[in-house]
Amino acid sequence: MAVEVAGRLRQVAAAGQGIGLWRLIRTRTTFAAGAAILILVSLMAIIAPVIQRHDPQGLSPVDRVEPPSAQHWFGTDHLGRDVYARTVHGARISLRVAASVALIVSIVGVTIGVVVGYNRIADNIAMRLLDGMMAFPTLILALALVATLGSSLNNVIMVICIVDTPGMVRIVRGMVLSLRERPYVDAARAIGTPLPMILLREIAPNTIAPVLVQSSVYFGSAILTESALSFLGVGTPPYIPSWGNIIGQGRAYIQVGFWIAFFPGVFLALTVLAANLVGDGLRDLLDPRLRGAR
Amino acid sequence: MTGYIIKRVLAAIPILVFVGLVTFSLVHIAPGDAANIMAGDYAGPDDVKKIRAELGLDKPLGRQFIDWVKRTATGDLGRSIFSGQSVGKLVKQRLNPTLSLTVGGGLLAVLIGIPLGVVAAWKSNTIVDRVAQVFAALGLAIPGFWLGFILLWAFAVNWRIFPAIGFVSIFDDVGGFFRSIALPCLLLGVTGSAVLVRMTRASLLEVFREDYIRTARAKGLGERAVLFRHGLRAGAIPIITVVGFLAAGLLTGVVVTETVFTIPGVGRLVAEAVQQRDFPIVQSLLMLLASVYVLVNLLVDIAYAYVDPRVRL
Repeated sequence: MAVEVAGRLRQVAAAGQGIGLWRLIRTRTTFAAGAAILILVSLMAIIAPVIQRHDPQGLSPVDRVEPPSAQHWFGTDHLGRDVYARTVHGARISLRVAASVALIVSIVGVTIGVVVGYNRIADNIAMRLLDGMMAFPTLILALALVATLGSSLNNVIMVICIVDTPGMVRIVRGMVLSLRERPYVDAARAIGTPLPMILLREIAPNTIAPVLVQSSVYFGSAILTESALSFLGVGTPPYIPSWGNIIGQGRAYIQVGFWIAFFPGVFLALTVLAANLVGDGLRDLLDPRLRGAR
Repeated sequence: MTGYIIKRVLAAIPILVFVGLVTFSLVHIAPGDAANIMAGDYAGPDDVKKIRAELGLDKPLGRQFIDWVKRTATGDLGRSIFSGQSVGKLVKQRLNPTLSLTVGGGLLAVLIGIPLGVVAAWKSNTIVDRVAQVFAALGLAIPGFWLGFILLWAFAVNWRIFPAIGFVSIFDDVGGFFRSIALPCLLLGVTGSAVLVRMTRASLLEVFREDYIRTARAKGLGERAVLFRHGLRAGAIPIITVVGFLAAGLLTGVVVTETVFTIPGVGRLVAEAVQQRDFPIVQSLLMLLASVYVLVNLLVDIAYAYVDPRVRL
């Protein structure tokens, strides 16, 4: 099995010291910072029930729209709910959506892309369909689909997967078009390896590098799309605190309770920034031709 | 060139047909029954029946599709299930603010994004480049609706320089017009320019690595001449494609921006229709915006071929 990613990593490692990823962390402060923030946010999401200090759904009409204090670090919203607790819990939604989308789109994208790139008839049909899918501005299509399917967390994940998959298929397909001409694929065919095995063992593993980079891009954009849908009131249902719907609800209280929408937004921007930094770092590591580009 | 244009226009037709198919299917992929969803929780069976007839859902599927194609082709975009107004009329009423915002925001994005990208590439690895890159990274990470909220809070609530809501037509009050679109355009411009900075910088860096740039320097041309006469001319070509990205950014940005700044435009219409699950409006707006997007990309392709003859081959 020829895995070029490993070779690439070894090359990078040979050029410097240590293994590739470790070197990346040491040499690129931006990548390291991004990774550190993502780890912290993930940690925050995991231990949210421990560090919440208040019930994120606990109504307290007496404490409506209270500014930040020692009792309520990020203040309270229009129903007296603790904004800090809600923000901490919002991380769970964002990361769940982002990780699910990145994983599902990668698996589905590689599966379709490999088949489509290898078979000319499938390729012709699929490329027309993908061109059609990509003719929609993504957020508008996502909005229309969520409106149709109904607002639930799973529907939000599914819809973001639907709008993101065509891009992934395109990238994988482009890779496969050149991979299928490689000598080791010819060799595998010559010794009688069945087609599914060729696709699975020779072609698919070699698409990992660009898929990894692209899925990190989708990780960040999925967080943005989920929050935009929730902000517009059609994403994550209001009874689950997500950064987008907290900001959407807080917008109405801009005159009296600036903090309600402010704090979740800081976490939201920071998390997306971190995901993008990690993505840029991976791109630099796995595709040196693009270094400095994008 | 004419051959190329004809080829591109013909290629856009199946895409529009596909867009139409997806849009038409929208009502039919709704779990349960679209009429039920639209009627809401308190509707009786008669109400549902009425909506079903209104949407034409009581007819056979093939018949529905033919009817829909006929109507769309003749410009009848259907009518709102709630207000009863025709979509064409609703869009027309709300076109002025949206056009003002997209033109203003797009111009601002180009005016910020491209010069910043050029300077970043020209002075790459200097402090100027760093600043441009940080700007782009933040612009891509900060969600537009939150940045809009911050702008609104700072300039409309705190300092009261600009109005917090609404839109004033340029035909009614020129000063009021500019005040009412200042913040929304700033938001669209800043978020839109982030992509432009990155793409411009990347494409120019590529150009600066070319042999003819080295030759130009070697023959003793000043940096300014190298940049303007050799670098920008070649670098401008890929930047045209960026306009396509910008169009997508503006089309979706308008939905969020008009919601944040409470501006009665087409974007706000999209958001409201989606919230109320007003399917006829959602459908025709999806069709309309996707068609605009396809058209913009078609124009971008043609412009690209015009300046770069290699593409026509």
